[in-house]
Formats: sequence, C-alpha cells, structure tokens
Amino acid sequence: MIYSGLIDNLNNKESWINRIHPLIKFLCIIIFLILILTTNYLEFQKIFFYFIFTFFLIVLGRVSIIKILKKVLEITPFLILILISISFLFFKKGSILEINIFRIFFFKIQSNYLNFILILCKSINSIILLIFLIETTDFYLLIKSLDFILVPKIITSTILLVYRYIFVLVDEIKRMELARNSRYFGGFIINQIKIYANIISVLLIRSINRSERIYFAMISRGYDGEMKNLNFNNFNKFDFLFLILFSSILLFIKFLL
Amino acid sequence: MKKVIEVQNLYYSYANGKFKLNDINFEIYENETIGIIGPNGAGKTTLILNLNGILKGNGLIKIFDMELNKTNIKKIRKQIQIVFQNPDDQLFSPTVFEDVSFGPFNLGLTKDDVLKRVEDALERVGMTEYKYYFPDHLSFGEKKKISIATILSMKPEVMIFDEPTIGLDPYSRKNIVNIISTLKGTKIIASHDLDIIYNLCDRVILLNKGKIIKIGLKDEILKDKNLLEENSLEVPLTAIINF
Repeated sequence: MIYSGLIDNLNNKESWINRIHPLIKFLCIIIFLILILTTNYLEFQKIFFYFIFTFFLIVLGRVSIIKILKKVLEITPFLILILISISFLFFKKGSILEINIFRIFFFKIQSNYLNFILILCKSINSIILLIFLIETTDFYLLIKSLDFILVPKIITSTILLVYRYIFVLVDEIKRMELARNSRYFGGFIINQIKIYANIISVLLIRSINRSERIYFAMISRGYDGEMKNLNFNNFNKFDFLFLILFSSILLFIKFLL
Repeated sequence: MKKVIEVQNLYYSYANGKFKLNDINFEIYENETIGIIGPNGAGKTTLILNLNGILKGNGLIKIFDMELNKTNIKKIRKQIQIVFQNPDDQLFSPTVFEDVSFGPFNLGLTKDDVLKRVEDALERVGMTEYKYYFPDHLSFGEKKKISIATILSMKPEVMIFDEPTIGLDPYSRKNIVNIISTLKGTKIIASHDLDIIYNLCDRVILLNKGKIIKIGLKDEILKDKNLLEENSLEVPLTAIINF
C-alpha cells in the first residue's frame, strides 16, 4: 500500500492553534483573506503587517516554515505566469507612482509593476494562510466548516468521498502499473501510450463499479441523499477570545496603521 | 421457531440479460446461523443484495413477515444489515468514527445514543482506540473489524457477512471468526471458506449457477464429498476431522 493521508500528514496536532474550534479558525482566515484581497496599492505597507501577522500565526501554530516555503515555491512559478499576463499583457502601460514606505524608503515605480508586486504579495500571503489553515485543522472538520458558509452538502460530501477514495484509486493504479511492469519489456512509445490508455479505461470501469458498491453500502445503512453526522463540539471561551483578538489585530492593521 | 426471512420464487437477472438467480426458495429462522456456499459466480452476493432490497428481483421476500417492497424497505433495512466483501466499499467516511456512526445517525438517534452505540460497537470488535483513524491507514484485517462495527452500531436483527474471511491472514481470520461467533441474532454467512461455515453455521444453502442445489444441516452438506465436488467445492478440513 502506498503512503496515504497526505493531507492528514500536514496536521501538527500539538499546538494550541489546533485546539481552536475549526469553525472559528475558518472564519478568522476568511476575514483575513478578505482584508488582504481588498488592499489596494495605496495601502501597500499594510501587506507588510499582514505578512508579519501571518508569520506569528505560523510560529504559534508550530507549523514548519520550511514546509510552507516549499509549497509556496511550488506554486509561485504558476502564479508569476498568470500575473505577468494580467499585469502586462492585458493592461496598458501605467502611470509613474512615487512610493513612500514608512517615510524611510522612497522610490518611483510604474503602476503596472506595483500592481504586479502587490497581487503577488497578496496571493502568496493568501496561499500561506490557506496552508496554515490546512496544517492546523483536521481536514474533515475543515470541510465541515464549508457547510457553515452554505456550500451545498452535495459538494462537501463529494469532497469527503474524494478524500477517502483518492488513495484507494492511487493504490489501484500502482497495482495495475506493477502488473504492467512485470510483463512489459520495453517497446515503442506508441505502445506505452496504448498501455496507459488501457490502464485509464480499466480504472474508469473499476471506479464506476466501486462507486456502485459504495452506494450499496450507503443505502443499506439508511443513506437517503444526506450525510448525517456529528455536529461540531460547542464553542468555549477561548475560541471567542481568539476570534475577538484575531479580528482586533486585523482591524487595527486595516484602519489604524 | 419464528420465521425471520422467507424467500419464494425469487428470480434475478442482470441488465445484460444473464440470469443470476433462478427460482430461489428458502426460509431462515430466528437466531439461526446459516451459510450460503457455492463456487465463484454462483450468485451468493446477488442473493444477499436481494435480501435487503439493494437489488430488486422478481419474487417474494418477507422479512419478519413484512413483504420487501418500496413501502417498508427502510423498516427492513433497519433490521437486516450487510458486511460487504471488500471493506474499502463499506468504509467510505474520512474517519472510523464517522463510518460507525453513519448508520445510527440515519436511524435518527440522538447524539448521546449514537456516541454510546459507536463506543459499544468498537469495543465489541476490539477497535476502540482506532476511533479517529483514517480508514486507509488500517490493515485489511482491521478494516474488516471496523466493517463489522459499522453494522453492530445499528443493532440489526439479521446480520449478513459476505466472504468475511477472504484475504485475511490466519490470525486476523481467527479474530473475525471469534467476533462473528460471539454475535447474537440471526446470521447469514456467504463464503468459500467452508471451514468457518462448518464451525459457525447450523444449516447450509448450496448455490450453483443461480440455483439452490441443496438446503440442509451442515453435516448433511459439508460432509458430502460427491455433492461438493460436483459443485466445484471440497469437503472442509474441520468436517473431515469431525467424521
């Protein structure tokens, strides 16, 4: 069996951030993301404070900074490609802006470049926050939090089923690949493509059969189209304290700094 | 003895027109453990799936004197539960707890009752400490035990086990057999493993090519070398020892 539970693996269950109610944590991160995304280039220095706050969260959550950086680096090239197309290909050349950061750094920059940097920073900060959320929250509870923002149950149930079966399917592919390798001794690339096409088609049929069997197991235990399960535990004082503190810091950065 | 299951003239064919079950007739009584045996493709799983209405064949199926139809299918499913052959089909939730609590929640029980039932079911299969495990992190034997817990939490009157020991090492097999033997209620075991059928069952239904070949006491069928060989089976070792 291949190693599974890739998302679970990210969880560090020892920090106190992990113990905060998932819904509260989810709400806090959503508020944070909204504030980051609504920052314009006139508030450029606020991004800096958002980064500092994010860094504190990571430290408090005992999340590995190296792990986060690795993931950010994996995503950044795609991000840059998209941003280049947005900032330079679709928009006209912008005006020259004079930027003053904390009255220490003065420089002139074209608005296109500033927008590019701003969106890049906002995107990276948002990605880090999402990784932080996944790292410090049980995946199942995280998906359950989506119910709170009225994401249709069919979508959350599907995500949970995908999460459960993606590893089973990967296992299945590995087994089929093993069977292929044990009887395959090289050949033209066309042949190899044909073999993989066969593997994919067989996998599709097996997946359909499996989904049918899973459905049988579900209806036999009373499934009627809705996944009924345990609700979240009750909130405690500490959760509310965290929410108030978190929002206060964000509001302070947004409106007072 | 109280009749629990009554099947009369049951026919079932798949969409491709291939007949899978052909004129099936039998009765199962309360607290009886009955084995369904037969070679590959005999129709054991198809028969089981018909018993709680997952597959719908032509014929009469009565569970506790209730005819299996659209009106009372939910009532019947509360009383008759299946442990499927592949635990990966049975365990579809992200945690063991979610899986074991899935049935009780669908029964409309309160949170406290569900928690109690989950604890009780996991304790009965000796898997209490695995409550928050991701099913994919469990061994095949552990998944099998959790699969049994998923139906125990529903407290069914009739428990059906489809190939409960297939793919298990001897130790896990012994564990599963012990668990099944301690369960109270009516049990139906469909298996190729004739040793566990001999050890656990009172009566046996021999099925081949979708037809019932013989129904009888375990000694009557499982010690009949010719009958078993004619149906691509062989006398189990435990039956030879008990000759």
